[in-house]
Amino acid sequence: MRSNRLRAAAKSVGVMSLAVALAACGSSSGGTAAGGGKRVKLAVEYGALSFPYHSALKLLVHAKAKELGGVSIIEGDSNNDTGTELANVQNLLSQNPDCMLLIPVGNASSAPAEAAQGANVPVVSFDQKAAGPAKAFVGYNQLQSGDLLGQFIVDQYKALNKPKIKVIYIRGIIGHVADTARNQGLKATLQKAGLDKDKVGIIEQSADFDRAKAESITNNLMRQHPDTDIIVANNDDMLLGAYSATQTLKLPTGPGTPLHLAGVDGVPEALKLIGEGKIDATMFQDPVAEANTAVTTCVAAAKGEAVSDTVLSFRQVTKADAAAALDSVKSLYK
Amino acid sequence: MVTTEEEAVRAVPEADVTPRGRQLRTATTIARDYGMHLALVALIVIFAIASPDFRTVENLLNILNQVAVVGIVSVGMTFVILTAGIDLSVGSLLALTSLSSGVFAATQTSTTGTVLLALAVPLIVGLVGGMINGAIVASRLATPLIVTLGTLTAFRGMAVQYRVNPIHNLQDWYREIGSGRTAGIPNGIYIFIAIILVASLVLNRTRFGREVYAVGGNEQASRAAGINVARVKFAVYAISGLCVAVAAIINTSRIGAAQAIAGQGLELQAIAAVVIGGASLFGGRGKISNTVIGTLILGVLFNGLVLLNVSSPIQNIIIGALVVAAVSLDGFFRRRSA
Repeated sequence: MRSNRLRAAAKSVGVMSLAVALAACGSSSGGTAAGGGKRVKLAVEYGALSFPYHSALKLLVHAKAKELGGVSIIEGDSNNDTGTELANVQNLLSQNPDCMLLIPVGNASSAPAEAAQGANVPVVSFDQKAAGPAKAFVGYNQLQSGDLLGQFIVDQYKALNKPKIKVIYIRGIIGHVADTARNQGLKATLQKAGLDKDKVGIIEQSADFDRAKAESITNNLMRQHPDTDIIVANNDDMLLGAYSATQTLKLPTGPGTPLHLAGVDGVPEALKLIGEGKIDATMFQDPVAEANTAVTTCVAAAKGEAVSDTVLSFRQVTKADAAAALDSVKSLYK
Repeated sequence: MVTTEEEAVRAVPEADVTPRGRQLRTATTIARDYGMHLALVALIVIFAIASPDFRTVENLLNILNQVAVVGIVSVGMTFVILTAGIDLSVGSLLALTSLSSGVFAATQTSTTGTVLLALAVPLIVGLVGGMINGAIVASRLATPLIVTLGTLTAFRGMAVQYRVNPIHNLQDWYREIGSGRTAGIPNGIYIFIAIILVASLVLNRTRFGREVYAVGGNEQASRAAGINVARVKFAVYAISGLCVAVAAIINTSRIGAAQAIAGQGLELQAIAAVVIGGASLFGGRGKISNTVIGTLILGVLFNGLVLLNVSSPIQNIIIGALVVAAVSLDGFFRRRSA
């Protein structure tokens, strides 16, 4: 009994001293990194590396860091979960990075950015605006992708020259930052163009950014509304699901057919179909410019330089420039 | 029907065996055993009245075709739930099996010789995935909930690690499996019906089927009766894995891409279908035919609500409430019959 207790005490002392030693080790190595001022330790927290776009950004971040030289990277994957995000950020901070690139899971939780501020690590919010104290934001204006999607509908309305057109609008997860922004942008643009529901009838359903669900929804809706003129989706993956349904239903799609399709993102699969004339357009976000700017901004912030926001714009890619866009990204989505 | 009536009569105290009391009891057992059938008929009638687009033969075929993927996974899940187990890993395993099928079906990589691989490899991957679950559950080192929660995470990790970007450009013959038709009927429906028939035969007409019910009904008694409980448990997870692989091939073919993020939340849909079909999560009670009814209820609801343009959050509220109602109803009848 007594020896047991002693043994337990000895064990806990051992564990504690090990912890202290490890902590000392951590702070000393962090000290040299910051004090030397040469090497920059970059922490990167991704929203979900299972998203091809985030995975492409990761490749580009590593390439840019290598190009700059003297930049080491530590990173985490939030798995699209805010709880995991905060835990990962805390773990990254305990390794004393000089700057943090944060792709937030949502724009509501300010805890990750606050934790970084508490540890005196500048945060650059990346791809999506994070809540809380960030030094800068590098990413795309999501509202503007919705504007472009709305403008696509406006242009088709004019081209089709009909008094009223029918649009199936496939949305993502309701409440998701990108879905909310794209929806607002799309509706605002239609309103500005004076296209109310007597001119553009919108049938709206959410497919939760899920390709299979978008396929089912389109399959259901196209039977009910065979006279649909346009299908737009809040990302390419869902649009590709919709396209799959139109193929099953043997409906011709793309420029010059009665059914026009447009999405957002510019994934290679969509760009290829745009090149083949099966899909009309996508609102393209170029990961190359975004990742490069994010890394240079974060490195500058690490060196204590003043940094500012870089808000990039989506651009519409159609058949004319689909091949060039595909060339620029296809090596990133392998 | 005869047995349920007998049970009902037996449950009635002597003094209550009046024609009226007997009628009431019979009504209760009918509600218990055929409640989901009535619910499905009611839903179909309601939607048929509310939406002219719903009540077409084409749309009914469409619903059957759409539920095939979840339905086949639910059939496998029924075996597991009958043994009082649960398989949470089905969605992740669907992603893994999809990728292992798609990689052989892509136009860039495949020749005609890989046709067989695109079908066989996912079946093997699914079977092995299920066997891993089954082996750990059968060893009784951890409960099914924990084991499959672990493999849910691990299988997804493997899928994402293997490949983040979708495999597309699938061969035309491969696309036919999920989106083609034979004699005017979508191919997915034939596969679904074949799986239902085989599963029903196994459960109702084989010794193994009786053992599955026995293990779920009373594990200790089954062991005493000489049933190899570990073997039965191992087998039901393997069956679930195999069903997932079949569903994965249809799903991949239908959406034209194999994705590491496919099948998220599939486990909840499958469990919901089984439970709405009246199976008990405590094991021993459930039927393949009722699981099919459960799957159809979910499929009809989804299709009908989309056609009526009900928004997605409201759809989720309705489906969630239905699951809770189905389980509560089960509890209610169990208490009455106890």
